[in-house]
Amino acid sequence: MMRFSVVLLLLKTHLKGSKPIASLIQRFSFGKRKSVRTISAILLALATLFSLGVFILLLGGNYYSYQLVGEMVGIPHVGLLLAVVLATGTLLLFSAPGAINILHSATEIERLRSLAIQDSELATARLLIFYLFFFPIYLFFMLPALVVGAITSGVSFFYVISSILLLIFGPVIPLSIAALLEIAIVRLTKGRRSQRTGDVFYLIVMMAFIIGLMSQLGKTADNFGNFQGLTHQLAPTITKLTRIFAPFTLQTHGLYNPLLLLVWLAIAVILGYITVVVAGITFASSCSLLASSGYPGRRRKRNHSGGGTPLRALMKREWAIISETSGFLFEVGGELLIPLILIITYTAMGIMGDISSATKALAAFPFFESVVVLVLLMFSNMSLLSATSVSRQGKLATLDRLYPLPPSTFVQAKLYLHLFLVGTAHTLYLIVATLLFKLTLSSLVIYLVLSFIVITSTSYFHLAIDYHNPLLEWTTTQQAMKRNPNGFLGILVSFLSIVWVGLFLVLIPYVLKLNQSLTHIITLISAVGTAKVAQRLAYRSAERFLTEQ
Amino acid sequence: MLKCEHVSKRYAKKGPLAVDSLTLEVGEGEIFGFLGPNGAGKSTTIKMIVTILHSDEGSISLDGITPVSDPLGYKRLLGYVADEPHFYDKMSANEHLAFIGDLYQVPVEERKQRIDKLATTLRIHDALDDEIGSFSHGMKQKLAIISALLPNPKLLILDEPMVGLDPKAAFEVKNLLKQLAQEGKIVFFSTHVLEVAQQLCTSLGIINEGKLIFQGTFAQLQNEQEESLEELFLELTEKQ
Repeated sequence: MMRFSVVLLLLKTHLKGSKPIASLIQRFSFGKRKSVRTISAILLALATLFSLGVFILLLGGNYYSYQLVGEMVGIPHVGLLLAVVLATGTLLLFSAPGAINILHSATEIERLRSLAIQDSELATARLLIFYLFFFPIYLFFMLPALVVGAITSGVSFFYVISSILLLIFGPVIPLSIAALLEIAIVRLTKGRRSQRTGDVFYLIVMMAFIIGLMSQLGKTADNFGNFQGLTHQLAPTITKLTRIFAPFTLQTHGLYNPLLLLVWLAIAVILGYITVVVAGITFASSCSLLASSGYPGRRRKRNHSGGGTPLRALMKREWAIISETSGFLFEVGGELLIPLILIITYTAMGIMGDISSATKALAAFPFFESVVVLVLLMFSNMSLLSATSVSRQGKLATLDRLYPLPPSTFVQAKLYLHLFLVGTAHTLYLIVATLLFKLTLSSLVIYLVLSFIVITSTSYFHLAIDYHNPLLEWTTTQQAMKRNPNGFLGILVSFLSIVWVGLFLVLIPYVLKLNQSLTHIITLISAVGTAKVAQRLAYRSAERFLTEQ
Repeated sequence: MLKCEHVSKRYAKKGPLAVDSLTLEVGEGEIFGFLGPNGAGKSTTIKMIVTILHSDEGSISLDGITPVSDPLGYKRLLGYVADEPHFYDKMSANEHLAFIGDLYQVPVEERKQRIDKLATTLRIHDALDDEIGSFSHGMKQKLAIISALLPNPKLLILDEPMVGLDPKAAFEVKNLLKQLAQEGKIVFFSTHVLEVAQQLCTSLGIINEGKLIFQGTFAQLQNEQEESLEELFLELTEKQ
C-alpha cells in the first residue's frame, strides 16, 4: 500500500533541498558587493520578465488572430486549439529527453533507494517532480490562450473552473506519454545508451510529424485574392487541422462543455494512473538497469596516443563533453540543423520552388542579399554552444585552473570548436542560399568572411558571459543548456549583434545611399572592431574565472 | 544475520561476471571487513545488499527477511553509507536528519538524543544548522554516518568509510563502529586500507575478480605464518 505521506515528504524534501526558485534568482546576481548583486539580480529578473511578457503577448496575438480567422470560417476556438496543440507538443518535446534523468537516474535516487521507501512511493514522487519541473512550460503556452478565450468568448464561472482544470490536468497527458515511452526505452535497451536511443527516437518522430503535417496542410494557404477567397482557402485547412488534432479539440471544447470536460479529464486521470502504476512496478528494475549501464561491457579500442597541441587537446575535450552526453548532442545538433530541417520540410511539401519564385520578386529590393545573410546569421548565432560551454563542464570546470595554460588557450579552444561546428553549417546554408537566390560568387566570398567574423565575435561574447558566471551545479543537462540563464543572455546578445551588423549592412547605406563596395568595407571594419572588443571581454572573463581563488 | 547465497551479477550480456556466486555470512556483533583490489566487485556486492542493484542469481537475506519477500522490512534493518556522500546541497544537516527521522518515524525525543550523541562523538554538532553544500567531504561522510544510524539499524554497511576523514575523525569512526558491534549490530564495510581492516575487523572477506577467495578471521588468514595482512592480501589476489 502506497503511503502518500511518504510521497509528500519526498517531494517536500526535494524542493527544500534544491530550492529551485531561490537558485534561479541567485543565478541572476553578478558582482561581489551585496548592493551590486541585488541590483543586478533585480535588473536581470526584470529583463527576463519583460522578455517573457513580450513572448506571451506575441503568443496571445497569434492565438487571437487564429481565433478570429476560425470564427470567420465558422470553426470556433481555433486559437485555443492551436495553444493546446503547441503546449502539449512542446511539453512532450521538452520533457521526453529529460525523463530518464528525472525519473530514474538522478543522483539523489540512488541514495533514496537504500532507505525504507517503497518503489511505488519513490516512483510517484519522481513523477510529481517531473510534473512540477515541466509545468511552467505548459503554463507559458496556455495562459495567454485562456485569456484570449476569455476576451473572444466571454468569462463565465464554468470557463474559469475548466481553465484551471485544463492548466492542472493538461500537462498530465504529454508527461504520462513521455514517462511511459521512457520506461519502454529503458527496458528495450536494457539501460544501455537509453538516453541516446530516446533522443534519436524523438528526433525521428518529431521530423516525421512536422513533415507529415506540413505536407497535409502545405499547399492550401496561397492566392487568397479577396476575403471570400481567404475564407474559402482557410476553411478546409482549419477543418483538416481540427480533424488531425481531434483529441485536442476535446480539451478545447471542454472549456465550454461540462460533458467534454469530464471525458478528457477522465482520459487524463486514467492515463496518469496507468503511468503511476507502471512506473511503480518497473521502478526498481529500471533504476537497476540504468545503474548497471555505467559499468564496462564490451571494450572498444580507440587510439589515444595523443601527440597534439594543448589547443587541440582542449578542443577534443570540448567535443567529448558534448558528444558523450546525449542531451548536449541533441541540443547542439538541433541548433545546427534547424535551417536544414526547414529545407527538408519545404522540399517534402513541394513548396521549395514556390519559395524560390516568391523570392525572385523580392530580389528587386536593393538590400535583399544583405537581409538573406542577416537571416542566416540569425539562425547560426541563436546557438547555446558557447554561451553554456563552461557551464557544460559542470563542477570539473574548476580543474582548468590547475592546467599551466594561459586563459586565451581555453577561450580559443572553445571558439574554434564553435567556428568549426557553426561555421561549417553556416557555410553550407550560405552556399544553398547563393544557388537558390542566384547571388554572385564575389558576394558569397564577402558574406562568408563577414559571417565568420560575426560568428567569432558572438562566440566571444557568449564565452565572456559564461566565464563570468558559469552554472556549474546542475543535475539535468537541460539545466546546463536550455534552462541556463547564460544561454538566454547569449541569445539576447546574438540578437543585438545581428541588429548591430544590420545597422551597417542595411540601415546606414540606405540612409546615406552608399554603394555596395563601400557598405561591405564599412561593415567588415565594424565587425572586426566588435570582434576585438568581444575577444578582450572573453579573455578578461576567462582570466578572472581561471585565476579565482 | 546477513546471508548472501550464490549471488551473481553480470553487467553486460557477454561481459564477465562482476560478482560470481558469492556466498557469505556475517553475524551479530561482527565487524566484517570486505577487501579486494579495484574493480574486484566490492561496491557491486554492497549495492546488491542495499538493493540499489538487482542480482542476476542467488539470494540475500537479513534475519531471514529478503528484499523480495518484504522490501520495506528489509530496508528498515539496514543503514548505508555510500562511497561518495551525496545530499541535497541546499538543505541544512538538521533538515536532512529531520527528513530521515520522519521517513523512519523515529520518535522526536529519541532522534534528538541520537543526533546529539552521534554529532558530539563525530564533532559535527556546531555545523548541523549549516547548508550541506558548504560541508567538506569529511563532514559529509560524518553526516552520512549519522543519517545511517539515526533509525537504529541492525546492519550498518559502509563503502570506503575512511576516505576523506582526518586521522582524528577516522579514530572516532573506528571507535563508533566497535561500539556498535558491542551493541550486537552487524557492521559491514569495504576498505582499501588494510591496517584499518587488521585493527578493527573481527572477520574478513577478500574478493577478487568477483569471487570470494577468503572468509574468516585474520588469525585464520595468517595460518601460523608471520606475514602481515598486506603480504597475505597480495599473495592471495595475485594467485588468481
